[in-house]
Amino acid sequence: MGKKRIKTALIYILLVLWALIVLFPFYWMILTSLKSYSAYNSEYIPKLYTLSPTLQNYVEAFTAVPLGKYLLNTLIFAVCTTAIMVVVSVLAAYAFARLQFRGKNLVFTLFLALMMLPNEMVIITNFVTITNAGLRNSFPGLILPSVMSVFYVYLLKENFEMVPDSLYLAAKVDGTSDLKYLLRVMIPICKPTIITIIILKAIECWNSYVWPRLITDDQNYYLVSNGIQEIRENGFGRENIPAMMAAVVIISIPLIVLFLIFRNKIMSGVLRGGTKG
Amino acid sequence: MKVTLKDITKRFPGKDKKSGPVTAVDDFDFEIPSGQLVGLLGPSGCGKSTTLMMICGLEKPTEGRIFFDDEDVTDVPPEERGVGLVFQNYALYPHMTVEQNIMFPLGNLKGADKLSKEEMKKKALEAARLVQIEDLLQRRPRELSGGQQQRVAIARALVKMPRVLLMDEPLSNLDARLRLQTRVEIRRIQRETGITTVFVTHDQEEAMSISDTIVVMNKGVVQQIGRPQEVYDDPHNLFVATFLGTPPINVFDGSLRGGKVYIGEDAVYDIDSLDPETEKETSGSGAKADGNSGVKKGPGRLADEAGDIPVSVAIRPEGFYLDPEGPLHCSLLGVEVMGRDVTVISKHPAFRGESIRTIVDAENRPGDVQREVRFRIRPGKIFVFDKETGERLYGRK
Amino acid sequence: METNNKKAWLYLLPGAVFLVVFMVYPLIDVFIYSLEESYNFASQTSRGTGLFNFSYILHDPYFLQAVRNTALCVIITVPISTGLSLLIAFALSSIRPLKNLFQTIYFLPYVTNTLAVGLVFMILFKKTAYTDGMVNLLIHFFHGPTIDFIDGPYWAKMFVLCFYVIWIVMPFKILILTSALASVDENYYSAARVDGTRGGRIFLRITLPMISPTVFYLIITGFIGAFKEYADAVALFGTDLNAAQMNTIVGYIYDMLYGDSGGYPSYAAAAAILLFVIILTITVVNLLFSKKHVYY
Repeated sequence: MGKKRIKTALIYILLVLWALIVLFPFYWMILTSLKSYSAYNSEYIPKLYTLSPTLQNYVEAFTAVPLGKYLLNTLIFAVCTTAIMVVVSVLAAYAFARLQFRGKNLVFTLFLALMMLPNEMVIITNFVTITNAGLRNSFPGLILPSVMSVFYVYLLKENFEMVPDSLYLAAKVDGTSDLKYLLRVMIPICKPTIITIIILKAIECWNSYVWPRLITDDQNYYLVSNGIQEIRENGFGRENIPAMMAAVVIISIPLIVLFLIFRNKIMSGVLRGGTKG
Repeated sequence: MKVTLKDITKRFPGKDKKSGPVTAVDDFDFEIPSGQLVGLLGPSGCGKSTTLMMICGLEKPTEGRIFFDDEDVTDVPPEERGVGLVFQNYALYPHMTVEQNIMFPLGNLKGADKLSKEEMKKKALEAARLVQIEDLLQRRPRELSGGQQQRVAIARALVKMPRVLLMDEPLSNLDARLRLQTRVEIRRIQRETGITTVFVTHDQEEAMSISDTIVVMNKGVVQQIGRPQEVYDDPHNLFVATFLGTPPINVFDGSLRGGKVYIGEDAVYDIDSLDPETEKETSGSGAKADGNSGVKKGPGRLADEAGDIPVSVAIRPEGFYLDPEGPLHCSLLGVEVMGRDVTVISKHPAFRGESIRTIVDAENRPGDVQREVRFRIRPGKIFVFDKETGERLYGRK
Repeated sequence: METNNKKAWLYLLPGAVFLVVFMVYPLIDVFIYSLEESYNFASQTSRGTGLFNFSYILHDPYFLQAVRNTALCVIITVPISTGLSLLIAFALSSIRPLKNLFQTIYFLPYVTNTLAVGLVFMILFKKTAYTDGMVNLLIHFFHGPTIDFIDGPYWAKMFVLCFYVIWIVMPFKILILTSALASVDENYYSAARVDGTRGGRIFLRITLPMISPTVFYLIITGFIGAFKEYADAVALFGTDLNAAQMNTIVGYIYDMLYGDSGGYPSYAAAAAILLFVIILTITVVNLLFSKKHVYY
């Protein structure tokens, strides 16, 4: 019995230790963001707590750098990209799952092959395409190449195929058009999966860095990732670390809140094959 | 509404190019009289569901035409045919309430037929009343039992007042007790509405109990069409004989010799007391099953033939009675008591299956120590079939 | 079922347009770029075709540095993160109280912005005139010498990068492994326990083989992910990775494309193709290996 207790204790120690490693950066960013600039710089040995928390850094984050603009840009980018992605993916998944057409298997195989393709291969030409189209520093330039996610189409198609054929036949007998069947039957039934891909895509958009960095050099079109990089290199004067941390907290909060609300949806969505980015 | 199938054939493209097309339904020719309930019966893959789908319009026949009364509907899409379809798994929309499910078909009506919300609700309620689920309208399908779900499915099929109601194995997802209940229910609804109904099932008991007419199919070919009792009493071929009846008919290797029907070495019946097939009128409505194109048939031809003619002899379980002097010698394996009657299980060297099952009155049950039983055969319960083709040679008188 | 070609293509059309314009065409184009010598954006001309671009980047010290960094990062992070996540997932699946809480906490890094949290890591590890930083405080506490992890020696920078990469990839691996462990049928364990099998043996002979497909999936995706390492390095060391000696292959591609040393899409294309070849090779080798050793 004693041996088992020791084992359980060891397991908990390991788990708590890893939890601390995971949580510590979050704690540190919040803590630092609450310290005043002078208090922070006077601590040669950083303190693990603060007795005089201040919100001054948060005010500064919104006034000294255009953080509000970055957040708004990211929101617009995430909402538009996700919305177009859902419409396009639902239509394509429906065609693959429900409609019969010649060459379907071939098209679908080619489609799956694209899933294996690393983004780095295509980003070069996309950069040239968007530049030549004069879409640098514009929302269409940011959004359009980010829309398609082959994997989400695949996920939706699998889900659509689980809806029994008889539902479709029943709707056909009643004279339901394909579009109406898709809107009134398929989408409501597959709502959980659609919500899952919306959340995953939104997370992806919120964290997206590489493409926005390539395609924007005008601060008016920066997303949060580029914004934070800009803040780091030029904002606040290099060393105002508490203010930077306030910006980091603000940027992190929306996703963490989203995660705490949709914890199960997000985790099951990732389980079904999502990978980061 | 009279439904006429005129030489319907359906071929599907084969799985790969080499195997060629698969014929699911072969030259189906049949007329369903208005207001009848017709059961399409056969083992799985016999083409019964395909036939249903063609009447419905979800499949197009490769050849042949389909008429509703005098209107050729072969090229009419399902929604314009005025048919209702009920599925084995009910196909209810899980995210809609019962009422929304029933109203869904009405929402597709266009132009002059378009209904107001109130009219739709009224019609849905009428349909729900008909199947007695008016109390469940606000529930969702998963809150209902299987039997209730099936009623919703029927209500949804009926709400547009279809000209023809089609049911694809509507009872097979229900448990045994519910199945009996729902069977009666479907019959009642069909009588009340008078809608011509086609019912697909693989369960012969179900088909026989519910239908005005049954159509027995096998491998895409119609075997026999007729009233249930007629088909049972008068099967045109060995397939029909074995497919109908529980326990199934007992089939023996037999032969015709010197005016007698032999099972092994036992002469069990006189050929003279059987009807030869040539004199029979084919029942049903133009089934292909008559097939007596003059081959191997008629007593005259058999009488002339020297030596044995190998045949299949089939005897219904209720066609045996115990008789110490009976011609059929079987070794007794056991007796199963059913209450009103008993099943005698026995063996015979010429029997095709494992053990012969016969039903006899409880009073006449054989003694426990008995090793051998002897049977005599009741008239009308023995059929003689051609050994190769399975076509019937002799039957009831 | 009937075939309805026109309608189906209509449904596919929007997706197909996006795919063709932003994936299929670029895929073909990248090969063309890689073979065109010194393609120039402005004049849209090149000096000729050949393998010149490949030979150039293979002799570019920055590229070689990037390859070395990436390879080191892969070799360090993939085994450690896989092993550690296996350990944690196993620990998680053997407890009941607080399990959900731990799972939620462990998943947090997945939903954070890499650039933002990277900044926090930088501050924790960085040594400045004002402060030694939190990590150095910890080292000091154990009487170790303090080091600047961000602008200091190469090995220290590599350590921070790997540490951060592992921190970032763990949530995904823990989640997948926990669910794989949960899907192993309890009856196997019961049967093994009835036979008196000890815990360690159960893990090695039953659990591990049962989840081996998942482990291999994680190793393959881990390799691919680590080879594409970039944003985490930027988060820690800033955009000028060449100066920090911490560039990665993907970073090299982007630098060639755009940025201070940018404007050379041909070199970028050649590097991207080399990256793809490396990833493909490793994946194929992994698959061949797993075919032999995965029990399913």
